[in-house]
Amino acid sequence: MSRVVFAETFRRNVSSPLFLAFAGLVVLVASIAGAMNADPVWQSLASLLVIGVGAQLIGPEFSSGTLQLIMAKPVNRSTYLLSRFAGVLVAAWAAMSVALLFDLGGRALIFTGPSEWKATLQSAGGEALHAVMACALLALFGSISRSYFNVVIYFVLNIALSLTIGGLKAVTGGIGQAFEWLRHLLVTYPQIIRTIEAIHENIFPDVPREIDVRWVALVISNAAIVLFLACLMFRRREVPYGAD
Amino acid sequence: MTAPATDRGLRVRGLKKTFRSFGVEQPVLKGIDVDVAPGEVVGLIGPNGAGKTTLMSCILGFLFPTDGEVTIDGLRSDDLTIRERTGFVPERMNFDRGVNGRAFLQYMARLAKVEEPEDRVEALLERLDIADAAERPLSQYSRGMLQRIGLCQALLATPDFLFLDEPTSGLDPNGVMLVREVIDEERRRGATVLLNSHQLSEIEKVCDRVLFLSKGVISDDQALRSTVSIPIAVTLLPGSFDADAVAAAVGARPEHNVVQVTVEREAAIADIVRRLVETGAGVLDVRRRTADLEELFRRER
Repeated sequence: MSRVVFAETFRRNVSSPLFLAFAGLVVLVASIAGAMNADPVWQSLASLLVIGVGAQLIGPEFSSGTLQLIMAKPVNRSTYLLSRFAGVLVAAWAAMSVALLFDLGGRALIFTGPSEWKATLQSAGGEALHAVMACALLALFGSISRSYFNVVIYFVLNIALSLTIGGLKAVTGGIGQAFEWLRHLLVTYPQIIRTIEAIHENIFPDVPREIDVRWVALVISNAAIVLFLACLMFRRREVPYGAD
Repeated sequence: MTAPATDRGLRVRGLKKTFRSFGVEQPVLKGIDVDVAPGEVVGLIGPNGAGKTTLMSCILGFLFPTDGEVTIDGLRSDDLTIRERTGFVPERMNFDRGVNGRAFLQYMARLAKVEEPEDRVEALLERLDIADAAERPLSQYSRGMLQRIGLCQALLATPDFLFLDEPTSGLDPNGVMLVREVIDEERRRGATVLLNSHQLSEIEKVCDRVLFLSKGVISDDQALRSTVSIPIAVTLLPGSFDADAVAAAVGARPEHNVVQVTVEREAAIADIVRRLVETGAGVLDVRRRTADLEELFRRER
């Protein structure tokens, strides 16, 4: 890990007007949710914030030409990528922490009934882990593409897997006579849908209501594998200069 | 081209680079051999599309050669110990344009593991005459100012190897002279410089040697300055000389009133002039002769 790259990445993110505006919105929604003891809907907004900061992790640097200057310096490529990942993640976590404080503060100071603070705390922990996986994926997709295509790949893959699972389940349920052969196949081999569901759940894990050790281990181990692949791809990636 | 005595300096052997796009292969470098000795300033010239940028990218480890190898002081050019001793100025400086010049250089200095980065940054801002603009964001910099800041970041670690891609591009005459002075200072300090430029006059002024890259190969390797001999051109007064007598006196026939000879040391120049005058020739001008790069460019492209 490079302390210099980490600190610069963190500083640049948290001083960005766009980041501050979006983080402010998340904190505002968290305050309202806390005061009303409502579901912590701000966490969905925080997920978008994570995608926003994670998008800039590596892909745009290929296009802007910044990477050539960095790669000419004595910085190991994997170290650089992991430091960028850490800087982006900690920036996102910082915004989420402030939002969580305002949420819990609202529940404790303004709402007078029985508070949902335990559930809020648990789901916030889940979102924080979810952010690890999201940033790891954006690092991987950024290391094989340019510009902001990492976000495009992220959303397209997520949607494609969800649609595939939904479609296959619909076919199994009897929709679409033309796909009778497919229904027969899916009924005979139910593991096909289960496998695609498992892939989806591993790559894009939903935060469960009750977070257990198994889920935490699943997310952390998958994120580690994705980061390893990202480093591998980034090391093999050419960084032409003067191309843009 | 010229074989080095040791592994020191830049050494490129059999370098090939082929780009593949949709199954179509496009060979850009077709077997490059280059040696640049420590302390040597070498220019790289060639027409557009000759592969100069690709060659520099391969040398710097941004692109991976299809075949061949690049070493600097016997190590791979992307070795981190070599990177610590390398400076690079890209043709176009690109970085987060919201960052100001000073902050950008301080980040680069820390990445380059410069001791006391603040002091070094301030010294270079002064040296490159851009201290007044240090607090302005890079988005407000002109092309020339970006080139200066690019040169600053390359010099931060006092590199032993300096790779410059069109460093005078976008600079005004003052900036061009400044770059020339900086290259000269780096040469005196003992740095090895590879300079990619279209400015033939700049190459001629600062380089010891020039490599001509054409169609993916080094087609010519011309010394501009020699430490063992001094090429001179003596211009004679038209009609004042007998060509055969001049040839007998100095061993070279005049062409277009100019006789070109090579001497071993500066003291011998006066002897050449004396011998010419003794034949009755009127001597108008004596100057050190450099390779005619424009002629070379025309011939090789």
